[in-house]
Amino acid sequence: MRCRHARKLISQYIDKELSSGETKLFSAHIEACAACRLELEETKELSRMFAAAERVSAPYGFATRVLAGIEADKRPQNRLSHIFRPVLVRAAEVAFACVIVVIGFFSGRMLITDSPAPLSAAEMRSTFHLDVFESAPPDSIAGAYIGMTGVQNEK
Amino acid sequence: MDDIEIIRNFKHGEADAFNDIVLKYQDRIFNLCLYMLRDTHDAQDAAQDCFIKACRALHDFSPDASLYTWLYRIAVNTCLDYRRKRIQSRMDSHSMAEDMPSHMPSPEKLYESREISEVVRTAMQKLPEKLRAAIVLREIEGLSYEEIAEIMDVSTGTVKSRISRSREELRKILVRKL
Ligand SMILES: [Zn+2]
Repeated sequence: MRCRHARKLISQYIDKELSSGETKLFSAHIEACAACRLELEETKELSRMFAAAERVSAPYGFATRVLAGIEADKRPQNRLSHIFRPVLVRAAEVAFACVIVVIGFFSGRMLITDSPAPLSAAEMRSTFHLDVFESAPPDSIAGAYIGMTGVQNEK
Repeated sequence: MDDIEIIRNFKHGEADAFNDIVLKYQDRIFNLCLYMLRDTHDAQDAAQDCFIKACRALHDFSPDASLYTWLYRIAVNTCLDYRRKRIQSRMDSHSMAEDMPSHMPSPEKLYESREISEVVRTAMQKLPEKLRAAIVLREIEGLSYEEIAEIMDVSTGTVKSRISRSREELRKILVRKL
């Protein structure tokens, strides 16, 4: 086996995706060739970094925001079924609708004006980001709301 | 509760059925989006979009596919679209090179999972998106070549080559520097 071929097989060797025949040939080359052995070791080191890298959980309140987003997404089609929903949930929906209207207002202004847009899209997004809920302590009104809607962030 | 049961409940109109999907998969989908997009806010937006799209499409979901590969596929596509939109909307786009940390953390520090996660996520911004998606699904989510092929709608041969190229690039950026 030549170095060129061996190096192409390193990734599959790490994932145990080589046939037994290929594995034998590859291993024999690695035994004999210091340069390919180094490259294999470095690639294994990369995999160890991935294995050690943090797996990040969804942030506090994420599921609540997702479910609110899904409700907002459904609303135009079946408005009647929402009349008897709890007042706080309705209020949250109204607040969300207001945010949408304000975003619509600003983006509409950007369409009709010749002057440069007052805010970049990224700034706008951070301004209106629903993350205002994120750091809400459990005993605050926002915490109570999250509690009332019965959605837990934890499994 | 298993996925087949969750989907059956959803199709029977049980109001809370989709909550079960969100609660079961939120961490995995958010984590995938974070490694794809690097930024926490972007990852939250993309993960939220992914679930909204999934909720719209779940009525047409066919039970021969598995729910998690289907969700991963929506999430990967959402992240690819998301970056495309974001790149278009960012007129002040500074080069990715400026986003790299100017010096790598010391080896002791590096071996803390959060540090490693940040260094890996930053380095991955150098990869073309499809290579990045393939390596995240393999190394972070631990999926097989077959599962990745299904999610990305390509052959396993393409998956092999994308993973191999990703490792080659990342090895040069991350390992050689140590
Ligand atoms: Zn060699």
